[in-house]
Amino acid sequence: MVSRCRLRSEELVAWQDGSLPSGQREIVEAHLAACRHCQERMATFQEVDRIIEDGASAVDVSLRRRADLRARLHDANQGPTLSASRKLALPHLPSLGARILVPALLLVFLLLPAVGQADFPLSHFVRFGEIETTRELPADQQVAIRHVTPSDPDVPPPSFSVVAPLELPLGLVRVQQSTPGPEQVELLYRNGDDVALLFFQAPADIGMVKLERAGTEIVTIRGTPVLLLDDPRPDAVSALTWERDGVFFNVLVLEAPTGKYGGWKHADALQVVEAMMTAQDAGQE
Amino acid sequence: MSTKASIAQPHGLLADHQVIKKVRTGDVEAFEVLVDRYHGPLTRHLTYQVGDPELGADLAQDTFVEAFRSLDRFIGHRPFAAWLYGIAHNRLLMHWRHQRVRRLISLDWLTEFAATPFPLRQKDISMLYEEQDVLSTVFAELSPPLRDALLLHSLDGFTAPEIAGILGISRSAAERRISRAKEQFRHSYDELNSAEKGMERG
Repeated sequence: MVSRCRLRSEELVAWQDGSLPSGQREIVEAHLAACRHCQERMATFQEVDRIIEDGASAVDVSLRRRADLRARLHDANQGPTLSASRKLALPHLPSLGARILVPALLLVFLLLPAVGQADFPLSHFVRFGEIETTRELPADQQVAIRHVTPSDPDVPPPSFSVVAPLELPLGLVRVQQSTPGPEQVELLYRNGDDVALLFFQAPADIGMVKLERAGTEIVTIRGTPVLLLDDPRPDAVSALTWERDGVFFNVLVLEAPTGKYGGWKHADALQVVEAMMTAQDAGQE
Repeated sequence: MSTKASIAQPHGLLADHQVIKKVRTGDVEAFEVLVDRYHGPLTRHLTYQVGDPELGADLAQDTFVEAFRSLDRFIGHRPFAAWLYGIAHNRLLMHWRHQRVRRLISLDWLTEFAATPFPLRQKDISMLYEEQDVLSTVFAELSPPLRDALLLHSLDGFTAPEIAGILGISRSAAERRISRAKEQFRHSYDELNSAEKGMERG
């Protein structure tokens, strides 16, 4: 008769660490001597350790990097705060203002080929991510964000069927529309609950979506795969992408309820996507 | 740290707590000893976390600067290495909040591969990412909590109680994460190796 093994994996880890109290250690050792299943589990743990130790390459920290660190430590020793230019951000960006705004602008820069400038106070900063501003910028250094890129008057109308309903669920109303470039349309929707969504549409042959290693999921709505990018806050979404009937859609959450449990909620996002699909099916504009 | 620590203390140099004592009494240059000791392993750890050597090095720099500034808050009852890695962990959390790694791929391609057994391990998929070794690929597939626990245990040699302190979780939670991480790692590693060998033959 085979007895069921009751040794928890955590006990194996503790035994491997050598952190079990002496009485318990002997019990685990006796069990390991007799239980083939646990022997295999322990062998797996040890094999993983070996793979990682053998396979992890040694890091060659360049002399330049060590010199940089020495300089930063010297600065830290000299004064209470580091110079802003040495803070970790995206070091190729030219200004502190740009670095502070980069987290929220990142999706915009990556999604939209041309982002213009407009009046947008820093205090109304996009909060779909947990963005920390270390200090308030003087007004003349604040980088303005335009919700919708201005239309280019020289581009012809788009060749695809733009989907631009006047209203969407949750009180969302289309407040701006532009054609910033060839075969590009931007639509801004807002409601009274501080939600602002930027819809970008283009022909489906562009076929660009964003895939993250984590925080990405695909849901199917009306047979169409829709890619969602998670907001760090629970059950919230920061962007969506899908292609349907010749049109590429990308929705960027520009504004959403703030706070630890804020953000644009999953269920609301799917409701809006479905409404856009309904509008597309109805050929509405 | 456990006796199986992979971060070796060079023979003849001062122990960490002795170095810290010197720094606190004004010998700021002594902090270099700690940098020499932990910069490489910490950079390696952070590089495996973020998948980017330059970013890993940046985060390691930030960690050391913050550790230097906060040295007066270091209480000697826990190892310096664990405290340092705790700072690194917080830096990493800030990084994940502020930035995400993104890749652009075709939706058609994504839909096509969604049904395949190993959609994220096809060679042409990995070509869209930066060149990664097998280890980096497997680490990237782990959830962040499991990756934290696995790197700290198997790469850096911390025990489960030390990892609990670094990550701010209970000891039993740390042990569970370590065991689950190792099981998942082994599974993914074997699958990845099988898939790559299959592609080489095919």
